[in-house]
Amino acid sequence: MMKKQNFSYIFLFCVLINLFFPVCLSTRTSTHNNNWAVIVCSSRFWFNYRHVANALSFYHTVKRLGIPDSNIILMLADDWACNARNCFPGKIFNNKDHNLNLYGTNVEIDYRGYEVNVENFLRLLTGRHEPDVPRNKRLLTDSGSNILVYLTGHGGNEFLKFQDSEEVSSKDIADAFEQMYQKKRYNEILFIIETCQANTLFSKFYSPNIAAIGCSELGENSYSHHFDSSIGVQVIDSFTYFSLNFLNNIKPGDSHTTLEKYFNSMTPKQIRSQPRLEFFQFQRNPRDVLVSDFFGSIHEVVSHPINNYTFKNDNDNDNDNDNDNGNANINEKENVNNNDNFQLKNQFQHTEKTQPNMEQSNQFQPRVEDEAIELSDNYFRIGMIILIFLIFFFSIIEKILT
Amino acid sequence: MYHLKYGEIGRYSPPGGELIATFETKEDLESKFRTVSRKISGIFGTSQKFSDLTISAQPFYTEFNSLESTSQRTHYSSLPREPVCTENLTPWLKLLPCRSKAGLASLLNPIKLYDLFYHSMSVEVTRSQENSLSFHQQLLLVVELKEFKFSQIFGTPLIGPICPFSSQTKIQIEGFSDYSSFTPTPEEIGNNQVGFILKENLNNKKDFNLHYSPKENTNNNGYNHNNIGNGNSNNGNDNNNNFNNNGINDENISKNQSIKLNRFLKESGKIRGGVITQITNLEKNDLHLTLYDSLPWFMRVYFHTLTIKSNFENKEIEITDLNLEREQDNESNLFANQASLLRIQTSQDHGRPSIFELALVLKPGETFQISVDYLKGFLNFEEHPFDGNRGFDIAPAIVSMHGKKQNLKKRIYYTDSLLLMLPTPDFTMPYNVMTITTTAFLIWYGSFLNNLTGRAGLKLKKKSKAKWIIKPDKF
Repeated sequence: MMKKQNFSYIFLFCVLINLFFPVCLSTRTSTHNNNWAVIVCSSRFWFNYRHVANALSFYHTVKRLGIPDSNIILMLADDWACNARNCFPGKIFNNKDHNLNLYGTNVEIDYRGYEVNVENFLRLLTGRHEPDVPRNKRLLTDSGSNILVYLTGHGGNEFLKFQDSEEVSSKDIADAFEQMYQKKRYNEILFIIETCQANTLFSKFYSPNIAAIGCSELGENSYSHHFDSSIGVQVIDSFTYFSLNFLNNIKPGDSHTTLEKYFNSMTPKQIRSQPRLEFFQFQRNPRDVLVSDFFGSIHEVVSHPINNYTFKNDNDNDNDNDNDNGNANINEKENVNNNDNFQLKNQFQHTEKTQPNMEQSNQFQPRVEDEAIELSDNYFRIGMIILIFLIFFFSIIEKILT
Repeated sequence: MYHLKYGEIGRYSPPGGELIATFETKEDLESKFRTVSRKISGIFGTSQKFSDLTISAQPFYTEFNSLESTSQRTHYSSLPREPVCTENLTPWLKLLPCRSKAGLASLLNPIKLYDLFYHSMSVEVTRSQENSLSFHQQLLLVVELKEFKFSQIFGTPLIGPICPFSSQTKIQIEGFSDYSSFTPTPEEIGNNQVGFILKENLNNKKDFNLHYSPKENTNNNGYNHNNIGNGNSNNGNDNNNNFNNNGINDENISKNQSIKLNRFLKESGKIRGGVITQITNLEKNDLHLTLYDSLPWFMRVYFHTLTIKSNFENKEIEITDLNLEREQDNESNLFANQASLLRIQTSQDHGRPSIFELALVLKPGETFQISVDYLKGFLNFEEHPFDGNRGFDIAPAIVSMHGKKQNLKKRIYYTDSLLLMLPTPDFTMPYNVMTITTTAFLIWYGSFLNNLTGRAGLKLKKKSKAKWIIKPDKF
């Protein structure tokens, strides 16, 4: 009886300690320091509109999650947004309710039209370009880069068709990746392929640290999701549609969603084919691989609200850290000052000269990651409190019964 | 043609895209142009085919900018099928100091822009003799509206701050009969121009929504030209945002034209054809024009069939051969005859295009019809583009106006581009050939191999019961 009581008290003590310390650790085990994405739509002609929509959907997702345009190589084999055949000029949709215009107002296409061919694709991956090729057409990765490679189009058993007249085979891509490995051009690669018989395309990979997702097995087709009668063609494929359903719930900086969770969110019944997720000689535990390792970009964005800064003209040199001169918020357009010096210039100069005043930064925004940790810590704490009550409850019952 | 339908305004551009580069010296132009065109296509998101030598060439007698004679140092490349869309507007806007966040460029929304009749954007960089750099960006839109209002044209009135880096933000209005019907009312901004200089207006925090409501019932079904030009000089602080707003009614269009241009193919079958260019002088004086035409190598041009006919005379016009190498063009000599041949460049297979340049003098109202015949060349299987059955786009011809009498800048006109159908092979042939030959080979060789390498020994007896014969039941 005494032992039991001692034991329960010790247990209670440990639990109480745990309540006041954060428990959950981040599941980040990644080893990369920058992110790149190569998104390729390899089919031409109007009836392959959905492949362009697939590629642009992933482009949109990857941009939203943080990869900048300079790190994205987008290859579209045909341009439909401003084509005379498109009833909605400047717009490409991936859903028949036309909620999202994938083309937007800020899109950068690196390879267009006839330039999307097998030669350019392999040159892009291996980095062996002719000397004049401009910067935005090169994959300037290094040994710390995680690369997302997304291919969509028509394909078959161990090949992918480019522009309806050329093919790239699984051996070609495997060799290109091996060249990249030897030249230390990547840290990890996520290779997503959405064609018919897609899983065969990564059957020949032999380089380490590659993860591959394909949407259909040998002998299976991959299907489009739905048809849009106002455009007249299918607008998106099933795999991409369900991928987006999942990825749209991921916020930038997410540190908990694993690749496995993403893969398991799509059932074969939904996409009507058998997808496969395969890891080739992955150095770290495949279950630790996060979606944001490939789909997002690491940058610690710490936002200081502008309220805490004082605005001065260029003439002032003293570092004044208090809020006395708080001269309005730049964000609101109505408060543009009548000074000739534009306010934005002042703000940038200010950040270089002075340190932010930490005492007054009580509105400091924590990282999104930390928020997630706090959330799970709260769950844990609530669970522990319930456990304590249960312990007390049962010990009282024990006392009563004995 | 653009200028025929909408009137003459601004600087024209041919369909698709073009790149004009003028270098300091004549040497090694092709590799220099190749470098330049690749870098520029990277910046603006266009395809790299500008550097293709079968397309690009040098027009000797066409002057693209009015600064100096640039003969033989200018390289020109034109891609008529280049799509122009948001991905080209984005880098164009990124060249502006305030991008699309402040100033007049905040009006530009690609969704509205690409729904118009005509749009064209251009960037011009020139270095003058004093070594100062001039950077000029121009966006040309043709809008047809029942009601002239900013929020109708651009989808939004002009809100938000003026670009603080610009020394002047100006909206200039031309071509309307009644300027008082505008709200807000424009004022004189000098040189017989009306418009607005916007530094003060927007700082009063009102949305700027230019609205034209005519008081009389005039016929306002004209086309409105919006010409947005931005100029930057070398120190970067002197930035003029100019917005030229021209409303032109139907009656005014015909007054503005100088020439009428047409160009088409004359084809009879898959072997031969001809290119015909028609130029009509709509002005009241003589016009001095140079015509530059470059045809790719697979149109094997027969230069002896180059003929010019005029509607004023019954016989053909004689072409004087002035095929000379000149360092500086001497205008009086060029236009001495009615039609002179200035230059011919024969083509090389899979290489340079064929070029001819003519100097023409047209009387008022005269129409010249210049025709030349060609034979269609044969392309290798791999040389056909991926959508070979569509045909090849032929770059437009360039007509440029010369003459001291012109008060205007030297104007350059482009014809339409052409679509040439070459006989295409059956692109499924390699696949077919491979499958048939491999099947045939397999049948022969396979049975051969089986018979030769069969093992001596037991052969399984086949049961002779034919199970597939089913005796019918009695009916």
